[in-house]
Amino acid sequence: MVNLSIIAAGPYTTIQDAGRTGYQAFGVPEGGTMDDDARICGNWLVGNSPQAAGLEVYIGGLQFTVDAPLIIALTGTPSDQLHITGENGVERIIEAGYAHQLDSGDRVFLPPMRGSNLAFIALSGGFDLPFVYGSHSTSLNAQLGGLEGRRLAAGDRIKIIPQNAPYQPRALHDNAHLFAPANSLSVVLGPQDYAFAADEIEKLLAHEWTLSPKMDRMGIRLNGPSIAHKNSADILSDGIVKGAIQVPGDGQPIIMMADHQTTGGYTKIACVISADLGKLARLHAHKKIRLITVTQSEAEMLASQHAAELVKQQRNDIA
Amino acid sequence: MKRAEKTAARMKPVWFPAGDRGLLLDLTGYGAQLGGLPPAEDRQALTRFARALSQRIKKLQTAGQLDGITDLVPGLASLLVHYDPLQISAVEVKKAVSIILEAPDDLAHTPARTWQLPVLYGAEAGPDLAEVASRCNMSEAQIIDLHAATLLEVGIMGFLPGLAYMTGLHPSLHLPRRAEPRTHVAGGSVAIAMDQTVIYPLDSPGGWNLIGLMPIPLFDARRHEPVLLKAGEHISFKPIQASEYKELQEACRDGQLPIAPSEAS
Repeated sequence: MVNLSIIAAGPYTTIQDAGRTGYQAFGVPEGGTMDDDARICGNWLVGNSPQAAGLEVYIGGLQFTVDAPLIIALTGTPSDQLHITGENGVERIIEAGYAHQLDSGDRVFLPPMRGSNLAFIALSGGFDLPFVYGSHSTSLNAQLGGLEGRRLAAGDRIKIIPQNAPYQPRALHDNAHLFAPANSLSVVLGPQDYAFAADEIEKLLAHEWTLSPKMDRMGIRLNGPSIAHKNSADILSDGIVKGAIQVPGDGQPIIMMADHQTTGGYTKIACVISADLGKLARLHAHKKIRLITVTQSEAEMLASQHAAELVKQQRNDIA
Repeated sequence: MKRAEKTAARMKPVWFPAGDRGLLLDLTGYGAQLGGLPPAEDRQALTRFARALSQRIKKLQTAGQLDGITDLVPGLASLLVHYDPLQISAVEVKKAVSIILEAPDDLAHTPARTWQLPVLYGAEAGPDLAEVASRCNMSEAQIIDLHAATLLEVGIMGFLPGLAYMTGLHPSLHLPRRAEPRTHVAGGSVAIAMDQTVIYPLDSPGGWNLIGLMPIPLFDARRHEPVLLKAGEHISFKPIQASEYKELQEACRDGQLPIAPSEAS
């Protein structure tokens, strides 16, 4: 068993994996990582399965020690680094996108990040925590999963069951490119685009939108022109996908993210495509973006290309 | 079942994309004619149909078909099919579900359990009961009797784990949501609005009219089945006193479940 002792947790650090599949009809949210790209790549770097749990860190400021060897990797940012201090006081800098073997007694520090709003820290092995509906993902609003359904805090001690696989010096082929900040996101119109007149949909696509600081794991608000409904913002409650752009009565769009509620009664004008959800999660507040439409079948093709791109990033051949 | 068949005959199901991981089957066909909501009695039938369709697809999945469908979420008049575009395409999902839609007789009535849930009504437990009584022109005792005795049906689940939207509230209790939602509603609060009753699983903000408290947690990860209620189940309520409320709350403390539903019928 490896003990991970949290010295400082930063403002919003939680345990997240691929989330819960198949329980939304009971009101149990999907949850899981905001940035699946970072999770998939990070877990590959440390030799875990792509679905495995790691630490999702907003902003940075996380600091912890380990009391036994463990493989670590930082992903989801083009430019940030882990600062690792050994028991002998020697400091090493580990760039995002590289696997690194931690020694017993190492202290790991992720300073406030510049390249991304959130990042993923992958750790080899699995968390010794109970699964809730098959997942370790923390849901703050449902108060379940992860460590007691809450954010990590200074003083927390988490046990990790190490894996037996030996350390391999893995790296991502082009981390800076893969996690470079986006200026635009692709969306598929619907399911309720019919509730808006054509010029209102044009408004959604023609304007530059600013990400509001009102963002969390449930949703990201967009600031920009108000989008008017033909009749009403209300619909008979229906299911919601991650990435759905909900337009409530005030006309200000909200993009539903990982901890979105399972059903809701507001119109959804469009949905961000799955290939772009990680990009969106990484953007800082106040960042400007444009929305571009693609068809559902184009989006499916982009999902396949994106999955292939993640595989291409994985290389074993570094010295 | 005849009713669901009739509903199916009147339905105009229309597919709408929900990104590249979702397909929404809207049973009211709003895409063509955005109008008023269907009448309440049709809505309950539409909800049942959505649920039955979901169960039919699940059966096919148990038989090893439709692998790329990752989740099914019945709505009040729709079914959201979550799918993995790396395994199945929207075109394939539509084709498979359309075959089921063409044979609605397969969407048979499934037996449902009935729960009698204990509720401590009024006073601090239900701060809006007095106002509800005056707006409905009834005494508090009459509201309690009517609310407890009317058999409700869990239409859909959502918002938070275990939260059940129970439809079929007696027409004389239909009220809109409060104009100003509360920032804090206690977990376990029993609340009414429109034709529905909900119980808040956890402390959360909320805009419904609070009439009582239910001591049994709707969600407890320690239980064998963490979620208490399921869509399709029938619900009535049993008024209890503060002492009984405390006893039941105590009995649930370690993940125990001191009440049981009647068998499915």
